[in-house]
Amino acid sequence: MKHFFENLLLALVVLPIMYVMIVTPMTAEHQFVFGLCMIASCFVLSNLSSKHMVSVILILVSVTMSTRYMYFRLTQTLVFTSLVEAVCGYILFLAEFYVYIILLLSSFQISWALKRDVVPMPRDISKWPTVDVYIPTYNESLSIVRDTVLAAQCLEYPQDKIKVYLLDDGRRKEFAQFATEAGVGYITRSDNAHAKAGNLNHAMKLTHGELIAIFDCDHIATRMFLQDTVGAFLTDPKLALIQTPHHFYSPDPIQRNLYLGRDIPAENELFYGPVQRGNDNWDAAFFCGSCAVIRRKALDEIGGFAVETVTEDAHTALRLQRRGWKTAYLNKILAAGLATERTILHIIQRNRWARGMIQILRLDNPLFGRGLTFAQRLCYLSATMYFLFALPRVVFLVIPSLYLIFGISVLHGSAAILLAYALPHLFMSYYTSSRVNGRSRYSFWGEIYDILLSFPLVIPTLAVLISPRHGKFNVTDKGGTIDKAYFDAHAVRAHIICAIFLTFSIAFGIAKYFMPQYFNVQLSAVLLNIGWAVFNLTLLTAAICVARETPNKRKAQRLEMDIPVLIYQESGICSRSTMRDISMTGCRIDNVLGDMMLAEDPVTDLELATDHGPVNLRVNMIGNSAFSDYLRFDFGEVDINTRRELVRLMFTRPDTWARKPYKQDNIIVSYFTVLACIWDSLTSNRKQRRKNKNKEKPAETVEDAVKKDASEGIA
Amino acid sequence: MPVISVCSPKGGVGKTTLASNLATVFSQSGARVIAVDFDPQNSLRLYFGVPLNEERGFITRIAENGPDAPWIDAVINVGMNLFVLPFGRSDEPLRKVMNQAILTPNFFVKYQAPIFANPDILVICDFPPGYSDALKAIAPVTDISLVPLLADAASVSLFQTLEDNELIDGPLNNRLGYYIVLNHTDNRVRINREVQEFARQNFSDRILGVIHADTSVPEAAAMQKSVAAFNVNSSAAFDIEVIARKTASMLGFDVKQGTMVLNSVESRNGAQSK
Repeated sequence: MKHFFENLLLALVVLPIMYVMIVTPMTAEHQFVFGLCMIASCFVLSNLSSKHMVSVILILVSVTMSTRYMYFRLTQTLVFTSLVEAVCGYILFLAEFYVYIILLLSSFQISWALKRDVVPMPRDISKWPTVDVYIPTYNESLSIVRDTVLAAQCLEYPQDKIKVYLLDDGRRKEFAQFATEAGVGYITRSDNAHAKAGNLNHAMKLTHGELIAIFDCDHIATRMFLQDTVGAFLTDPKLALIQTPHHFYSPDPIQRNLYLGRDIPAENELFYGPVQRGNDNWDAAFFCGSCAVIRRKALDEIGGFAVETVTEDAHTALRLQRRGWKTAYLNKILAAGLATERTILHIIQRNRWARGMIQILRLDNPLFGRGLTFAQRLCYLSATMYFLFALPRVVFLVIPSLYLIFGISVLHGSAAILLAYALPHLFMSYYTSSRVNGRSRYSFWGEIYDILLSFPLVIPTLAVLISPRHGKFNVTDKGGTIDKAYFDAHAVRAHIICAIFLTFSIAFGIAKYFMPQYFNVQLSAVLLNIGWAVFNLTLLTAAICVARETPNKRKAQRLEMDIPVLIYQESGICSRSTMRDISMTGCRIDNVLGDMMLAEDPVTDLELATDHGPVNLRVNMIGNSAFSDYLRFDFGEVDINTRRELVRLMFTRPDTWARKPYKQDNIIVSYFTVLACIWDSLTSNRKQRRKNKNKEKPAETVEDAVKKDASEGIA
Repeated sequence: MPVISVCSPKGGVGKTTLASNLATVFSQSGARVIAVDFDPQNSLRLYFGVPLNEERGFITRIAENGPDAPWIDAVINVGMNLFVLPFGRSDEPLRKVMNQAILTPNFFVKYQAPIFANPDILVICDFPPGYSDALKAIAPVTDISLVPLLADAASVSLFQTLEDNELIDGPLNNRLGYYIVLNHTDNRVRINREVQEFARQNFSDRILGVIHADTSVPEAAAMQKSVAAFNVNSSAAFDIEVIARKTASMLGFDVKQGTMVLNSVESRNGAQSK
């Protein structure tokens, strides 16, 4: 109650001030000075303290300045002299209004990110609930699915309380055979109705676990996944879902083709970070299809996974929440999968997400219907409305050209006053988001991701908006390789046309600027539009560069690790060494053999000392590296039990995917990084991550071995 | 003062190899070590480069000077800090005399004090397989017993035999007890893995360590080199060092930068109680 009055008092003070700040009209000069003052004070404030309260103030100021801009746009700039101008002008205004709404919603979403901790499991194992692990697959190759299944078997949970099921919608014989060999359940069905959601619903009828853990068929879980997630269900009986991040151990097309080895947060870092944590704060974290645990009882209550849309995951969560169930997001990477390999596949995947989210927006709009809190409605609205971004994004790309080429003026007002209003609005939103999200999304990259998807999504977006009941689920292809660099012009055809158009309009604009006698134009407006077009062109070029596919040859992921290894030679001599990296097909170890390595006494086996005991592998040495620093081995065929141990070793350690946090964003640095990425992509420069041999850990010593045994309770 | 006995209910499990390698490791760490051979085969000396025709040992002393003869005169220096006391060439009647002598109460403290009651010396004793009078006789002065076994099916029944003190109808020593060393294990062999698993699950606090099957050990013995000198990265040598280190810490030795300072269990406990 005390908090309520405090907040009420605060609102009574803040709201009138905000109102005055929004509606007071000013001349260009006054507005300019006002904007600068606001920016300067926020700048000072932001540099004084990194406290969360300062971030909230910055968000508030940013929203106020944006609202002031929108108010100005609405009241002063919608004056047009022709029908064409009016149509274009209103389209731009609508696009800006959409962005403004998204800004408001996401500000609300991310302002109080929840930091949820792992709820420890009770000591008494009899209280642990039973868990079914579902691994749905449709047409993915066994080589991908296999390790996911084996990793699921490595989950540390009482063996009588966990059952792993491979849900094969492809009805493939070799999958059934593999499931039997591995010792997991195999479930299939006669039709493929409702795709993934249908597959899951079918399995639910056949199994009986109290909780259901779902992993996409490429999402390899670390072994503590269940113990880190299940505890929450025991302390909160109303909890229906706990979602964890989707992490990718292979680079996505943007990372591979555009970051080119630079340490820039991946595209999904923002969502599986500030956004879902923010959602969680308002009890609106939603299901993302994989790496999550769901309570069966809750699912039964809503009739299973939602089948009406192609994003069954978010829709299922929405349904659960309408029935009063709670959801949670645990920001801890407990599984990792394969990112989409190629740009075109990335676009196809996002096409489905966009269609599905817009379907939800149309068919089960979170603003309406029963059961949700106001905050939940806003969060779900933000999540679904975000996927309309393609339309406004294209509008922003094209608008400056309209003025530069055709002289269509879509904004009424002098360049000075437009700038004076727009700059504080733009700067503050960039600055605030850089501060709040700067460790998971660098400035301008969001625009590049959106632009990449924009043109291809325009028609699907419109189609689903008009006819939401159509649309098919499509499976994202994964696990492929790219042998040679090539440019996938098909994927970015529209982008290239737009880039040419922008280049032409910039040239035209420059001509207008230097030969004003031939054109009837405002010079400052020309300059403003050229600047806007150049900015657009930069981001557009970056997006186009993503389609320049760089090779992605290594099929098996190679992980660096330092673990003791024994080398068996044919004569029976067994020597100790240290393994430096490993993949599912081979490994590299320190060459300790020296003159012990003889042609007539080849290495035949390796023994890896893992936490789970020794793993023995038959190996072939690659090359004759008697004098090199390392010995390289190829594993050849491994049986299923050995493969499970390799999976356990490589992918299931709890800290497998731990990484240092990214550096805090800096807007200016980020802009130049974008330019550098474009330059490197165009000139085929790839930053080589230098391997530092000095960083390698020394080999295990006797003391280490004694300590390790002591910790395991051996004598 | 510290006495380590290496014994086993089974033959061919690597007792002599373990005893000799432990002696080498301890001596290299700075301890003065005497390796004592209680096995009439008289083969321990060969691991230390004693010539084949040098067949004298403590039993020779008994033959020459009677049952109470001091054995210290038979000790051979075989390296820095490292000594060996061979059994010596013997016959059945002579061995009977010896067994009778050592079974007299307090024999080792009374008559062989320079070896068995010397606080500056670490004694490592090697025994014949199974029961022997020597093993029974040495029990009162032994601090710790190491029992090498193979990780095979036959060993599984022996774990319980040991636990039931059936080897010498009584405990192998009255101080730190016995510890099993699984010798010559090859994880490529399924039964080896399973026996290790069984041992870890049922007798984990009795398992001191595992020594990998590694031909470096016999190769080194054949060349009369230490294993580490033959193959510096030998896995068996590493495993033996781990076992030596654990044994040392149980005996209460201070290990500082490769130097081992002998403190008898009593003096260490005494220091603590003060």
